[in-house]
Amino acid sequence: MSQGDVLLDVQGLKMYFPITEGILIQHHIGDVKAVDDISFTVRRGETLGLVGESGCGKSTTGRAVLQLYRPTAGHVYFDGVDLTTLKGEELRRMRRRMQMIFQDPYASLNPRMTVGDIVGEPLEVHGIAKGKEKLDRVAELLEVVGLNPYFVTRYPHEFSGGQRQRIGIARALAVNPEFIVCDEPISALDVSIQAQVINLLEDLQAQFGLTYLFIAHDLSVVRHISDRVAVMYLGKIVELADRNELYENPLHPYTQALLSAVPIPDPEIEAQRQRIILKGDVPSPVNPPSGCRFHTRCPVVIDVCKEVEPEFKDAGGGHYVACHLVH
Amino acid sequence: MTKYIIRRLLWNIPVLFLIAATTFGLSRALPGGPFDFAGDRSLPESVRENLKRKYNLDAPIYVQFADYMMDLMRGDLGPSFRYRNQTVNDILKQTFPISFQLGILSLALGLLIGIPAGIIAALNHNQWLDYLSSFVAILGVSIPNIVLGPFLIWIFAVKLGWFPAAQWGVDYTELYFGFIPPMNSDFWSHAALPTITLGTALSASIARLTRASLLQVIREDYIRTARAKGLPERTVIIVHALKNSLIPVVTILGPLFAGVVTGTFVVEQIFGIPGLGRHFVQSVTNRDYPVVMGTALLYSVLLVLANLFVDIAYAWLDPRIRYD
Ligand SMILES: Nc1ncnc2c1ncn2[C@@H]1O[C@H](COP(=O)(O)OP(=O)(O)OP(=O)(O)O)[C@@H](O)[C@H]1O
Ligand code: SF4
Ligand SMILES: [Mg+2]
Repeated sequence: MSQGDVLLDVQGLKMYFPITEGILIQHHIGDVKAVDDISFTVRRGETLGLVGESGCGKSTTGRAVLQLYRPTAGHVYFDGVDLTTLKGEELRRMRRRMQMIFQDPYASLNPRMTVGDIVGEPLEVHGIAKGKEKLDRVAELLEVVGLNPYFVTRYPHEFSGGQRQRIGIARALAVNPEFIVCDEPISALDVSIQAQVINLLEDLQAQFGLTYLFIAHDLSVVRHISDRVAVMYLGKIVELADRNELYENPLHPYTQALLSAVPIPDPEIEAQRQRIILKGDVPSPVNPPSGCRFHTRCPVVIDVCKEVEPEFKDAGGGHYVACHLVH
Repeated sequence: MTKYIIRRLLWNIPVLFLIAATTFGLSRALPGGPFDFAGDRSLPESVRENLKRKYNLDAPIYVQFADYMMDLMRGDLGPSFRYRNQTVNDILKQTFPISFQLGILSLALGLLIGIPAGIIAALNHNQWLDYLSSFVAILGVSIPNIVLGPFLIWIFAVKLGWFPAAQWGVDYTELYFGFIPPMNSDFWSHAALPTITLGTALSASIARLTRASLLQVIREDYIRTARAKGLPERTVIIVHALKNSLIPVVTILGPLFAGVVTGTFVVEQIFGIPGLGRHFVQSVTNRDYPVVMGTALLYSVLLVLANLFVDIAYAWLDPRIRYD
C-alpha cells in the first residue's frame, strides 16, 4: 500500500448538466446526473485508476476535478486549496500545477497551430519561458516524449495517432505540472502503440514525480499502471481499493461482473472462468434507479436495494464499497 | 500554390465556355424576341424582319453562336438590342462600378457587424444577449429589402430629412482609377441608406453563421485543451476558436460577393441607383440577348474568381488544406 500525503481530495462532487427545452425561453426540465456525489483522494506520487463503462461519467469527473466544468456541488481540494472557490486569475495560476491528457488525440490538438505553438503556448502564458528559451524548452519536451525536435514546425494532421498523443503529453508536461488527469490516453490508439504510450507515461511519472488520475474502461491497462483503482457506475463510485485487493477480492457485484469479463493469461484458470453476464442496458443518468443504482442489473439484488441507497464506506483496510450485501 | 492557381484559372475557361453556351441556348429558347415591341406598340412585320437581318438574327442559331463567341474572344460583347446606340461593353462600363462599389461597402458593413454580433451571441449562448442578437438577426434576414429600403427612406429621408430620397446624385466627373467615384460627403449622403439596406441582410446572415460555427468550435476538445493550458478566456476565443470557426463564413463570402457586387434589382430600383442590377432583370424581359449574355458572363467570371479566392483563404485558415 503506497502511503504519502494527499494531493487531491474530492468531496461530494456532483456534476449535473441541465436539460432545457423551449424555443425562446428555455425551461429547465431535468438534469443529466453525469457525476452524482462522489468522494475520493489521490496521494502524491500515486496513480489512481478510474474505470467504468462508457458514459458512466469518468471524463466528466476528470474535467470537473480540473474545473474545466464548474461542479454543481462538492469540493475539490488540491494541495489543500479548494479549487471550486477559485476564479479567473487565481484558477489560471493553479492550472499550471494540474494538466489533462485527452481521450481523442485527433480532436484535442488545434488543427491550425504548429506543434511548436501547441507545446510552447502554455510556457508563454504562464511566463515560464519565451523567445529562444521557449524554443529550447519545446525541443527538450519533444525529446522527452520521444519525438524528433525537428517536428516543431509541423501541424498535428501530419502525425499518426500515437505521435499526436505524444504531442498532447509534451503539451501537458510543458508547465511542469504535479498532477495529470489521463483521460483514456490510449483508447484511440492501435494496440501496438498503446504499450509504448503507457510505458512513456510510467517513465515520466518516475522521472518527474507525477501524480495521475488514470481513466480507462479497460481493466487490464488500469491494473498495470494503477496503485489504487476506483470503479464507477452511472455517476457513482461503487468500489475503491488497492489494485491487488480489488482484482483479487472484488466485493461489489458490478466489479465482479467487470472482472469476470477479463480473460486470464493462465489457460487453466481461464478455462474455469465464469462470466457474469449483466442483463439489460445501463439506465439513463437523467432518471437513475432508486436505492442502489445497480439494482436493475444486479445478479444478487435483494429487496432493500430498491429503496435504500447503500453507503460508500470502508469494508476494512481502505477497501471502500457501496453495497448492502457487504455492510 | 502558384501552379494550383494557374491550373484553376485554366480550368475555368471551359467552365465559362459552357456557361456561355448554356445562357445562349436558354435565352434563345424563351418565347418572343427582342423586337416584338417598341414601347407599347408592336412593330410591323417588315420592320421586325429588317431589324433581325441587321442583327444577324435570321442566320441559323449555330452561326449566331459562332459569331458571338468570335466577338467574345476579342472582348466585344456586342450591341444592345434595346438601347440602340449602346454596346453591352458600354452598359457594363457605366453601371458595374456603381454596383460594385455599393456591393463592397455593404459587404464590409455586413462583416463589420455580422462577425462581432455572431461572436457575442455565441459567447453568451442561451443568455439574453444571445436571444437579443438572434432575434435581431432573424428580423434582419426576414425583412426583405423591398420593405426595409422604403422604411429607411421614410424615416431618414422623408421624416428626418437627413438624406436625399430616391436619387443618385453622385459626381462622375472625377473618378479614381478611372471608375471609382470619390467617397466624399456627397457620395455618402446618397450611398448611406442603400448600403445600410443591403448590409443589414448580409450582416444578419453572417452573424447567424458565425454564431452557429463558433458554438460548434467552442465545444471541440482542443478548446478544452486551450482552457486546460490556463489561457485567458479571451485568448482561447480569439486565437483558438475564431479562426477555426471562420471557415464556413469564408465559404459563403464567395457567392455573397459575386451576388452583391453585380447589383441588386430591388435596392437599385428603390433608391434610383443607375447600377447593373436592373439589367439582369430587364434584359431578360426585353429579350436583349447580348445584355443577358454579358451580365451572366460577368457574374460567372466574378463567381469563379471569388471562389478561387475563397479556396486560397482556406489554405491560410486551415493548414490541413494544401494545394499543389
Ligand atoms: N457537456 C455535456 N452536456 C450534457 N451531457 C453531458 C456532457 N458531457 C457529458 N454528458 C453526459 O454525461 C454522461 C457521462 O459522460 P462522460 O463523458 O463523463 O462519460 P465517460 O465515462 O467518459 O464515457 P466514455 O468512456 O465514453 O468516454 C453521459 O451520459 C453524457 O452523455
Ligand atoms: S446494493 Fe444491492 S443491488 Fe446494489 S450492488 Fe449491492 S446487492 Fe446489488
Ligand atoms: Mg470519456
